[in-house]
Amino acid sequence: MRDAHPDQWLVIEVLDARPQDDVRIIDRVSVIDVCDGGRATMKRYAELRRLHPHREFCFVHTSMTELKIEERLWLGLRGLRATDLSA
Amino acid sequence: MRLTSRHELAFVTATLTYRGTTIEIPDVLVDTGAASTVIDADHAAKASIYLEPTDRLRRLRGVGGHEHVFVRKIDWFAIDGRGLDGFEIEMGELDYGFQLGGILGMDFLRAAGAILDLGALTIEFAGPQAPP
Repeated sequence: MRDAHPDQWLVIEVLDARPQDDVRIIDRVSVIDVCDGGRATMKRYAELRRLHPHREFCFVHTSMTELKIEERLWLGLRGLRATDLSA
Repeated sequence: MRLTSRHELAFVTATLTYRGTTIEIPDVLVDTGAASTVIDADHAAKASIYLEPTDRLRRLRGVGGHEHVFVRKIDWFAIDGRGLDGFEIEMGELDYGFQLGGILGMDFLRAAGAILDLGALTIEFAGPQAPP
C-alpha cells in the first residue's frame, strides 16, 4: 500500500483486524480512495460511513511507518444514529 | 454555568485555544458515558486543527457502532473559564444528524472537578479557579 501510494492520504477499508492491548491490529485492508489533504480525507471517510454504515473505513497517511490505531471503549451516545434523537 | 437541555440531554459551550487561536464550540454534550472528549472536526478546523500525518489515530468502539478519530494535544480547553492546559482531545466527524459540537467526556469532567446538578441543570467546578 505504501509503495503504491507514497506520501498520500488514503481512505481504506478494514477487512480483517483484531484487538491487542488497546491497539487494533489491522491484518488486511483495501484502498478505497486517495484524497488531497487531511481535512478532505476525513470528509470522504464520513461520507463513506453514511453510505455504508456496516463497513469499517479508516483514514491513514502512507508516511506512517506502521498502521497503528489505538482502541477505546465507549458507552453513551456512540453508535446512535441520527433518527434515534431527531424523531 | 447553565446546561442547555435538548432531547433530554445536557449541552454546554466550550472554549478551545490552539496555537494562539481561541474558538467557542457550542452544543457540546456533557456525557458521563463517554470516557474521552471529542470535538467535531469542522469546529476544530476553525482553530486550524486538521488531520496531519503525525497525528495518533484511535478507534472508538461503542454499543452498536464505532468510529475513527485523531488525537491532538491542545493548549487550553475550558467550560465557563474553567479548564485544562495541554489537554488531549479526539477530533472526529460527528455525524449524528443533530447539532453536536463535541462530547465532553469523563477525562475532562474528572480532571476539571466538575459538579453536575442535573435537577438545576448547572455545571460547577470544585476547587480554586484555574488560571487561563
